[in-house]
Amino acid sequence: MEAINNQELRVVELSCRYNKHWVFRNVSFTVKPGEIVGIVGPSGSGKTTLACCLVGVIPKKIKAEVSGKIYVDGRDLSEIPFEKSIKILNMVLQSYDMQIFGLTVREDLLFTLENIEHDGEEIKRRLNRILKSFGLEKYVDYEVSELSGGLRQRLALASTILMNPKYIVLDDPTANLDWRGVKELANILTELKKNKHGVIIMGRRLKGFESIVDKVIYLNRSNTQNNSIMNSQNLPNDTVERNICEPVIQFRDVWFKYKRDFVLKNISLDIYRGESVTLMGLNGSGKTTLAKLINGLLIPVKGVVRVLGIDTKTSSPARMSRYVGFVFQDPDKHIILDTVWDEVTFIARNLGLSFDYAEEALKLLKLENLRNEAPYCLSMGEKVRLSIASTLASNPEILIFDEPTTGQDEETLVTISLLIKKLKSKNKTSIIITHDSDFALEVSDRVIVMADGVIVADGSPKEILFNNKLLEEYGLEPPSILLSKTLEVG
Amino acid sequence: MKLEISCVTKILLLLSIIILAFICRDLLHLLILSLTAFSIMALLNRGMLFNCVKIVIPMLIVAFITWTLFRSYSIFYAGGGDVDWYFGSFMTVRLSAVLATSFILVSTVKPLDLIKALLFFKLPRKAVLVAGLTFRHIHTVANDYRTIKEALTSKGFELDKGSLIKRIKNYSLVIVPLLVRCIENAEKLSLALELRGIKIENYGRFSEKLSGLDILVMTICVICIVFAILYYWIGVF
Repeated sequence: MEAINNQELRVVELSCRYNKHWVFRNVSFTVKPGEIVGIVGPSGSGKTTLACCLVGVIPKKIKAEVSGKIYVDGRDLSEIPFEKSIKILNMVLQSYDMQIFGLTVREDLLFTLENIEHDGEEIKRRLNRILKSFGLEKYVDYEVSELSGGLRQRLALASTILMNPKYIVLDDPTANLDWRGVKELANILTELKKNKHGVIIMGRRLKGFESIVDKVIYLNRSNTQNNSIMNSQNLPNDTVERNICEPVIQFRDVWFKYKRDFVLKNISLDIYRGESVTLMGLNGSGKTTLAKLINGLLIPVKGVVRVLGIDTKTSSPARMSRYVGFVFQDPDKHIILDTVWDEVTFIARNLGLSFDYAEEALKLLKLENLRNEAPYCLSMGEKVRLSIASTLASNPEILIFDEPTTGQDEETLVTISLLIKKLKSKNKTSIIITHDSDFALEVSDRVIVMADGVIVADGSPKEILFNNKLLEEYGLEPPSILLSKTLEVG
Repeated sequence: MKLEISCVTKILLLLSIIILAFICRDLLHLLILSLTAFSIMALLNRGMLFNCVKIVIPMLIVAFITWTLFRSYSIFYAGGGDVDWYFGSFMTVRLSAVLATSFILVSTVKPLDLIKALLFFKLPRKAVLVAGLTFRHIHTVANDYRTIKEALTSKGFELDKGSLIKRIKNYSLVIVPLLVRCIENAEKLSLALELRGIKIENYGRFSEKLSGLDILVMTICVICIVFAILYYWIGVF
């Protein structure tokens, strides 16, 4: 056995279980200062549990059965008090918003600093230094709610770095980031690497970090190592085929604003029956707002939105749900009833429809054996399928998927991808909002790019996603196939 | 000219005006108080003054008519004539002072200011920390509430349809997922606090210092309240 007094984080045969079932078993790896290690796995593979074990939250704060050892610079982690270990090894949570305590950027950083530093002058000096190194100077008096997702994550990371931990664990840091946010995070991680911090990144994939990650550990439900970061892809056609006779969605000179500024500006757009359209663009570019105008959740300030000939201004969103299904991002937020069957048939009961489509949706999404189960007890993948089934139960003509790839495992992604293709074969229209260009290539036959409330590009996936200028200008994620070619050339 | 006072002073000043509005029983004094409130508003932000006047004037007109012509129907009616112009004017001016001050309070005092004020008045740090985190997460809960409502509506469910009892029942469908969400968030928040190694005794040690102007304004506020109590309640002078 190797000596264990090296300057490194060493995980030896680590296993963890909450009750009967092991979350993961016999995981071993090392992280040296100045090294970035990626741990990749689907949802449910135990990434968050592993992260909690690494920083000692499990078993010191959350009870679970843990076997194996974690050594930090030669010391057994279990023997270091938690208050001390978090100064050596800390973590940025997946829901990084929860790690921000202040109402402004300054206040949040001071919140941490006041806890670790007693000299007022030293606090000011360290505050200025961290603001500069994380590029947060101009946001210092911004309220947290005014910051973009990328900036909020940067703030959470900056607050964690203030504690000066040698090793940092990031739990699925890219889940809610657009491509520009991912690249900014990669730059910050490069700096941490230079400053000899050991970094562990947990995630479903490591796209955007290929050039900075030193090694990758694969974690899956059976803990065998057979996943791949890069997806293989079939290149789509380079032209958009449209059923030009029948636009099912029409936007005519549509303007929309929530409070002060317009978030959609003079949008005119036709979406045709049977199309699979992907909406792409940076966070805040207006994608979700556009989708909410389709099912009537929002009403345009100026202009007209017609869905299947119905002016959305004249119909309530509840009535529009007969024609437009909306699959929201986080299924946990939308589960309301006690059983899978009640949940799936909820829409049919509200609209006075028969349960035939609900039965069909259960079968299609392989949930028929779970019909009497409580939705809260399902796995994340099953909850996503339940969310889709409960939308399909009204047999809508148009289905909108909001960020369907966020935090999902490969199996669920394949299910969603097959479903979209099946809907297309039935001449139904799908609208997908995503940052994931690989998924867009897989499922869509048209890509619309939005920036600052306007449509800046509209074309086939190949025209859009293989156009380096467009990708660069609008911060779109390049397809893996393009990235791998760039890496080979590099 | 722009009013540059600390948030603690601002809160104390506004609360003093509201307290004085309820102590004063003289129309002229109330009028001065109301003008002071509107002047502070103009000094802080002229746009706010315009917005406030737009909202407040219809309310004042209704208040004036009600207190002047229909005061005999009030549960606080203690005799006198049916129509009382002085009483109507008095109540309207009092309302204008309270409304203007509340408007300034809501528009300009940020949650962070309130927390600083709580710390300044030496309230228990634990209570202030909880208040701070509550303010910080109000928008999280509000976002969750909006998302759940949108999801229900997108499933053909009309929350605001039917009788009052039916509507209340409808909202129970929002409460369940919202509660689940809040519990999950609370768990994450406590984990995040553990990871940051928060010690309550260290929270908010470096609160801001008061300037000479702050002390002057605070002193005037206290003197005015003491003077008003002595004059109106105890009968001195």
